[in-house]
Amino acid sequence: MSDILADRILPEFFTAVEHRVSDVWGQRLQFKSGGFYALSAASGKGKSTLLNYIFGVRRVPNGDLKWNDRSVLDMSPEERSALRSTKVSMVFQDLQLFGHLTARENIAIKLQRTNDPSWESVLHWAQLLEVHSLLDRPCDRLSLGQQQRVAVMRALAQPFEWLLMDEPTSHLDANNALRLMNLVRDECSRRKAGCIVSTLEQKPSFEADETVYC
Amino acid sequence: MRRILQQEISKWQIALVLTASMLGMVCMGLPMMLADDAQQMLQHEHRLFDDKFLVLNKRVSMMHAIGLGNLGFSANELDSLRKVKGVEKVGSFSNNAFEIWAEADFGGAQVVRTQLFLEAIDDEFIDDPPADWFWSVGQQEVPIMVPTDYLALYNFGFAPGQNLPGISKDLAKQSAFKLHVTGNGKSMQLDGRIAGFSDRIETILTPKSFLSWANAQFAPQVVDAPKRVVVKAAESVALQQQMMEFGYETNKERLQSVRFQQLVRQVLTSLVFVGIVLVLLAVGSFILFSTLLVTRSESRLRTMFLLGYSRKELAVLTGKRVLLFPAIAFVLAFPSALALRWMIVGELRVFIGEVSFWPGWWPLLGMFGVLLLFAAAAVADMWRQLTIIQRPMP
Repeated sequence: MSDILADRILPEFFTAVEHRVSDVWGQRLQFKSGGFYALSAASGKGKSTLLNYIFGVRRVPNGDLKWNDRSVLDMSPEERSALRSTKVSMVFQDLQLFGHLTARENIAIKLQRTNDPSWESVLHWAQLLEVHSLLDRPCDRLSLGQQQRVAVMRALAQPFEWLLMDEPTSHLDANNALRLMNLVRDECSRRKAGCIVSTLEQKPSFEADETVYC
Repeated sequence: MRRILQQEISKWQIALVLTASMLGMVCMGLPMMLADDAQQMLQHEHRLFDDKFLVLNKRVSMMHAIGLGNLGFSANELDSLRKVKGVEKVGSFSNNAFEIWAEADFGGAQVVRTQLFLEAIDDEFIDDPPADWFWSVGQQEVPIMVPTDYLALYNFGFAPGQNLPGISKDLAKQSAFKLHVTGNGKSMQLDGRIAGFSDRIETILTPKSFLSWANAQFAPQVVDAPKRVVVKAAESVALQQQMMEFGYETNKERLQSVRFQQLVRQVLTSLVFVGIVLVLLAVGSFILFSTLLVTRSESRLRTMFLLGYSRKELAVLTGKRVLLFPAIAFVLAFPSALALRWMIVGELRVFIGEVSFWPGWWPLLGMFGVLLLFAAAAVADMWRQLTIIQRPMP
């Protein structure tokens, strides 16, 4: 299991004044393996940026970001791919679903690489999230809320040590959001995986081990 | 997985790329096939361009007309000829130094009688000497070879004017005539028979053994230097230029055939060159197509990276799709080039004789090389683009 250390990273678009009031930027921030973290801030404060640094979508501009003392700056493209295959999964804010493919095909793109977990598990999640009847529908014909649930199921459809979720319930009603977060928590507990969830809420509606303010 | 990239190219684009790739390969492959055919044709000893043998003589000038000067080749001149680069063998013609008449009876009333000349050369310089091409002392029948052109002259020049029938090669071989040999106070009648026809040597040939014997019998005092020589040489324009510098004459048609060979080679080389240019253009457009395909799929490929797919996996996924086009183009181009080759060769068959159904290996290898070039260019470009796409954004 891996710890994540964001070490004195200061995004270039932040002013010095703004980063003084943050728990994250320019500080040493450690995410311990198995922990469930909420990343709370208003829009534009860098929640997605931090998740993207961790996931390797964006290049760390300064400071360092380490997975178990291994800097992402030293990782080759192949190592980053391997990391995303087996150690970290992400629910993107813009979901990154293939609209012309069905929900089932979108999930299969990930699941077929490892077959871990099984399709039965995925179908079980679909039942819990009430999207089981929509699995064979193209994603561009699903509502944003439905798409969000499919994106979460896709993120869960691989082995991981960390799950990164960028505002995963922004289009869900309170009941669906609760069901989704309960599923995520259960899956992370079962796999002894950590989770970082970004949210616009000052006080997150889901239970977190620690809330970090950007 | 295929469906991820499926929507990115239209049928028109696919048709355009396939056509361009196919045309590029045909434009490259066809001249290579024709060049290969031409090479085989030009190398073949008994085909249209028989340049391994050159018949040389000295240029006849005014001096010779007034009885001065020598048209014969001295031993030194023959040695010099042998030393010329490209010359493999030199053979000397010997000619009759006695009087000889030929007389043919065309059905009793019509008798054709003509004075004749004979020459002889070593058998190795004769194209396809007949099996019975020999003469030994005491033999009544003398085999004779005449140029194929003579038969044509007879059939299309002499015979119509004399109201005589045309004759085929086989019929000519069956016709009998008498040879009257006179000299040194002796005379003799022998039976003449046309044993064969020569495309190479334009003279009336008889076995060397007969001419040596007859000269000894009917013109013993005459030992003349050879007036004509035949040179067996590796094909070389430089050699012919050297011959001209020596002041020797050779068959102008042969020189023309060499020029024609050069022209054929130049045309085919130019065609291959144009083919290469077209192939390079086709490869260029194919790279653009590959770039277009990857660029249009960029966001999808980036998502695939985010879902954990490696550059190698995506290269295989994209590559299968991209490389399908040159592979199909190759499958279409080869039979097309083959068919075009047959159309062209079919038109020229009367001149160049039979050509094998399948082209040589190297045109096929050349086309396959072009396919590999397409593949290598596409893979390299795809890899470069995937490398850019997978980089973390600033």
